[in-house]
Order: sequence, then C-alpha cells, then structure tokens
Amino acid sequence: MRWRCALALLPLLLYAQEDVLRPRGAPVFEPWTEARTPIRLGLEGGISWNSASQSINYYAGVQPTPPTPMDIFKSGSGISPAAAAAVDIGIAPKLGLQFKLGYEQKKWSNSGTKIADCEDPFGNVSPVSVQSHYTVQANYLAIGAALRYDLTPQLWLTVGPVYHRLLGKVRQTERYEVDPNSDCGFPGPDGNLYRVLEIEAEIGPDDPVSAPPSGGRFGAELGIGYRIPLSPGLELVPRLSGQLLSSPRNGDVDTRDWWRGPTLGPLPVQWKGLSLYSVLLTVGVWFTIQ
Amino acid sequence: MRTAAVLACIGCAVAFVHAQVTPRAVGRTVQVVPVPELNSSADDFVTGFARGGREAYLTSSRAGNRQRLYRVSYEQGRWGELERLGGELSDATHVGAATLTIDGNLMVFAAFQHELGGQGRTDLYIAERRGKRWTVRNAGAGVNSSYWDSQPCLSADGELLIFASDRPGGAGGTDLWMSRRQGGGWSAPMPLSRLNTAADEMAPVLAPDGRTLYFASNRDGNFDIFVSRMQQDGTFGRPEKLAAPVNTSADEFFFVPIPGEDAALLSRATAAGDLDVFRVVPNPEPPEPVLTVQGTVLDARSNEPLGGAVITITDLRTRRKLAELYSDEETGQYYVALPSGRSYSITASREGYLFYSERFDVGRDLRQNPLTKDILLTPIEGGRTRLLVFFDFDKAELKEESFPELDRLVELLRAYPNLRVLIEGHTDDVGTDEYNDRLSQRRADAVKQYLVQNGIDARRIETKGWGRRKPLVRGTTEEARAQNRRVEIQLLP
Repeated sequence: MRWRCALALLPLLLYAQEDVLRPRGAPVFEPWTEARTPIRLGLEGGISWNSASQSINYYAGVQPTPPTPMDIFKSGSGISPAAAAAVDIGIAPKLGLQFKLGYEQKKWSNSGTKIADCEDPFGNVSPVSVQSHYTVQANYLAIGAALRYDLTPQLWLTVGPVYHRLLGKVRQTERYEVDPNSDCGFPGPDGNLYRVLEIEAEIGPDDPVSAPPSGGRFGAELGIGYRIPLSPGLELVPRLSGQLLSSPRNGDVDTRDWWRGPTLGPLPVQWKGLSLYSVLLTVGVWFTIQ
Repeated sequence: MRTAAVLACIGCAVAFVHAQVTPRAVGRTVQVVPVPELNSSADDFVTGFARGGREAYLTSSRAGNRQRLYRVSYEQGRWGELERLGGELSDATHVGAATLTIDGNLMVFAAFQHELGGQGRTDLYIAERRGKRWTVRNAGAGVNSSYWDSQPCLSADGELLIFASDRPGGAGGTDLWMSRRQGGGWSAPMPLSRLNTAADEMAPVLAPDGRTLYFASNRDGNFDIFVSRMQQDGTFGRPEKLAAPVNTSADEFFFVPIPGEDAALLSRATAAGDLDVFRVVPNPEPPEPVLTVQGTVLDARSNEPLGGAVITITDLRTRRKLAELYSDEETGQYYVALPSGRSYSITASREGYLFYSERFDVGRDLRQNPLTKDILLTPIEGGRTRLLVFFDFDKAELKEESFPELDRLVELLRAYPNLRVLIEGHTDDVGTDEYNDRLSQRRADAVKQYLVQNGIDARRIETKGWGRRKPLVRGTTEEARAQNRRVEIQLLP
C-alpha cells in the first residue's frame, strides 16, 4: 500500500527548473514541450506477436507428397507476454536515448492436417490424415538501447539494437492424432498402437543436440510511441515495436523424416534458416523525474 | 406593517448601495471560451494590456520551451499577429508575466537567469520604452529578494506594484506582496496579509480602476481565481472566489479584465497540461468603470506629433496627482485610465513649448469610452494658452488649487529669463461691461501678484482685463459661460 501511495505522489514531487509561472518549476515531462530534455522512467507491459519460419529441404530430391507432419515446422506464430522497465534520457530537443530491461516470452506454434504412414492392428500400413500441432516457447531477458526522435510533441520514433538472453531452456511440445475414422495408430515402445502421440522436450544451449537454441541473440528494434498525458509528470504511452533478431537456434538441423518410413523409407532432411520476428504492442506508464 | 415597510426599504437601499460598489453580473450567463488566436500546445497566458487595451502581452513557451514575451494587437475584438519581443526582453532562460502601464511605456516583467544579473532566482525587471527601444534594468534589491519573485502587476498609473514571491515573511507558499512607487524607486514590499494563506497565492492582476485585484490561489485544492477590492484605508478586503464557469476543477490563473469591455481573459490548464487563454464574457466580477483617455500631443503650428511631453493628471477634488506619463516618442500618443465620476486637470509640458492645462469631468456615463483628447502645445515664442486657475464666484482671490498651474508658469519664466508675459482676464456675459472689466482686471492682477511673490520681475508682466468682450465661444449656456470665464497668458518676445 505504501509503495502505491509513493507512486501516486511521484508525479507531484517531480519538478523541473523554475520559471516565471511556477516557483518550483513545471511538473516535468510535459509532452507538448518539444525541446525539453528530461529523464523519464517507464514501466511497460503488453504482448509480443511472434512469427517463425524456416525451410525444410529434403535431400536427394525425395519429397513426400502430400507433405508429412514435419511440414508444420516450416512456420509458426503466436502471442506471448512482454514487460519492461525503461529509462529515457533527453539529450537534445526532440532527441533522447532509451534503455530498457525487460522480459519477453517468445512463443509460436503451428497446426495442420498432414499425411503419415499408419499401422492397423493387423500390421497393415497405409497413409492416413494426422492432425499435427507443435508449440515452441522461449523466455528471454531483453536488453535494449535506442535513439528516440520526436516526430511531434506526442509521437516518437525509436531505433536501436536489442539483445535477447535466453532464460532457462526452450520448451517444445508436439501432438499428433490420427484420423478418428481410421483404426490405425503409432506403435509405442511397449508394442501397442496409440492414436495420439505427444512429445515434450526442453532443450538448452548446452544440450548435446545438433543445433541447440542460441544462448543470446542480437538484432534491431524499431518502435513508434504516442504520449497521452494523464497528469503533470505522468503519461500513458502505447507503443508498437518491430523486432528483427538473429536466429533463436544455433545452426541448422540435420534429421530424417520418419513419417513415411514404412512405405518410403527414412528421408534425410535439413531444417534450415530458422528466423523469429516479433512485433510488440505495449502500454507504458511513464514518469518524468527531472 | 409599518416596521416591515421600513425594513424592506432599508433592504432595498443596502442592495442598491452594494450594487453600486461591487457591480455584479447578476443573472447573466457567463461564457468561457478559448481564444485560439493566442493558444498553442505549450503554456500561453496573458498578463496585461497596454495602450488603452489595444495591445495585449502574452507569455508563451511555444518556442523552444522557453517562456518568452509576445505582444499582440487587439482592435475591435480582433487579435493581430503575435510579435515576439527580443533584445533585453528575451535575454534570459525564461521571460514573461509582463505588466504595463496603460500607455505601454513602462513594463515590469519577471525573468529567470537574465543576462543582466539578479538577486538570485527569478527576479522582477523594469523596462522603459522610448520609441521602439526598451531599456531594461533589474528592479533592484529593494523589490527583489534571493527568492522567487515573479508575476508583477502594475496599477494603470504605475504607482502600485503587486507581485508573487515565496520569500520568508508571508503566510507560506507563494504570497502576494505590494510595493508603492517612492521617488525613483519602490517602497519595501509588504505582504498582503488579508489575501495570503499557507497555500499559494499568485497571478495578481490589478484592474484599471486600481482597486479591484484578481489573483489565483490553491487554498481549496487547485488554483482558482479570487477577487478582492481595495477599501478606503488602502487595504484589500476579504477575497471572494469566483463561481463556475470561471473556476473549474482545472487550474486557473491570470484573470485579466479587457479594458473597455465587459469581458476578461483567463488562463486555464487544459487536459494536455498546458495553459491556454480563455475569454470570459461577461466579467462576473467587473471592476469599477474607468474612462480611458487617449490622444496625441501635437505641435500647434506644424501639427507634428510631439514625443516626450510630460502629461500630468490631477484629481481636482483630492488634489492628488494621479498620473505622470510621457507622450510616445514616435507617435506623440498618450493613454491614461481614470475612474468615473470625478473632475480632473490634465497638463502637458515639453521643453521649448508653452505648457497646456485643461479641466475635464468624467461622468458616470462612459458610453464615450475611450475619450480622445488631443493636446496642442504652442512653441514658447508668441505662445498663448489658457491658465487653469480658479476663483470663487465674483471674487478675485486665487483658490489654492490654482497654485500648481501658476508654479508651472513661474518655472517657465525662470527658465526663459528674457521672456515677457501678458496676462489677460476674461469673464462671461453676465453683468455689465464695467463690472466685468474690473473683475477680469483684478483677476489678471492676482495672477501677476502671485508671479511677483515667487520672484518674477514685475517688469516682465503685463496684465489686461477684457471683461466679456473676447469670449472664447459664443452662447449663453452654462457650458459656454464656463469656457469664457478664463485667464490666458500670451508670451511676448
């Protein structure tokens, strides 16, 4: 409760240089002042819309048609939370430097009905429809620096580098379910047939896999923010930012497509050039402290 | 029944007197509308008018977030282009809150970190205009302190200065302080104790009547406009808060009556947090009506404007000098605001010219407002003017209120020792020629006697009583007769 009171009083206590109107100076962070160079603190929260894509190349020109459940890994998208604390230091009229430290979750998934070989209780194998789905979730510590330019007293642009440090491991889940009209299934380790196959995995940068997740990734962030004054020294700032960062994965994945194994045999494939782009939509509360 | 009637009459009388003393916009709908011509996305506030209300002075931080002074013309309800004041009027981090005498030749403003230096924080500065040039100086330690001293407010005649300060000695926060002109400087400021509270009082604006003071205070939370009226003893009475829609939940500052209109300007914090100028119509707490007298001092022979002429306004009833001002160096114009219902003398003098005096009455009816009164000054050599001297009916003894005018004549004759003067007495058309000749001669002789008693050689003075033979105007009305009863002087080479 106490910290809430302090927070509420904060804008009342923040004043700039005195002037002829105000002996204690204007309550600062007046958005209409283009030339003011205050220091501002912001707390932002919102969502990150993520879009992932990669290519899947089959070696030796063999490519199953129609595509197998592996095909869903070509792309994915999703929405996840993001939050940050930021500081904005005015350096000149209309210009400032922004630094932020935040948490961003990147989550993407994809679904599709694909074709896989399926074995019935009599040992017959035939291609059937398989409802396929995957989800990848990674948590990042986001560290950013940006140059802010005020297009108008209310509207600003930011551009600058950003670094994402992976927190923990990347969690991936997969789920495959055969066509309910079919009586076939996937053979399990116990020899039984299962209509639903679920896979869960957590992979860290140091795990012994061919292409582990990147421990950190660099990129650029371009943002546009709009100041809505709530009271002197306090503003609400919706912001839209686009992120373009290096791949969340170290290198490419060489593997085999087993989904048509019984009929076509294992097909060597390469998952290549995974990219993950994000658009952040946040709403921030900004305080002026100088 | 009889008692009730008496009480009712007393009630009517009280209400009538009250209405005369503090006229109010009873039953009128007050409108408060923004003035887009003056507003920007930054702070904008008008703190005063000059030149009889034809110029307004705006403080705005629209340019580079630094408060700067702007002058804007105001003619027949229309605003002109904003003109930013430069030079020493802008040589500071922040400049603003200007107040001016009605003629616009004396300005007091506030500045933070002015290049001329100061007493510490925001200080008051005095600027005097000669033509287009302003000469600026710090108001000095007599007025300024090492604390925040700002938002000055001059009476129309420039004799009274009220400002806001957070210096010690007040009631707390920022308070209102008052200083009077004293010789070439200002008296030690005194807090307006009846108006100040532990909260902030600021943004004082003294109406042209010199008695009605508007100010802002946050004693009830946000800043609201209050009004207080000067009492007979020179102190300000209990302040009253103006009602909605003047005061709102937003902050209001600088309630400035528009001269010659039943309207005012105020500055109000907008939702965006900046101050914008709003127009209040009608003024719900109007000041006492004043007459703006304006005119041009001219050379009587060439009709060219004469700048730098000293114009003195005296209340003939109290004999108090109300204003001393100068005609504009370039245009020869002058402005002065005078309370209604009184009689005044206006005197203009300038080196090389014979002084000019005139009596005029300002009635309660101010439909002719402003009043234009041009003044013609004749060059010394061969100059002729009417002396503003007073006699009782049918008497030839000078009344005391004649002495300032005669002293001016004494000074003139001392300044030009080779000058000779012919004093001519005139009467109206009542009475016989013989009687009027004698009376006018005695009156001319009385003037000569005063001059001789004050060291002027009698040989330089001639007198002549014309009786009723040289009337100034024809007619038998009381007004015409009053004009014809006069003493004139003619300077002889």
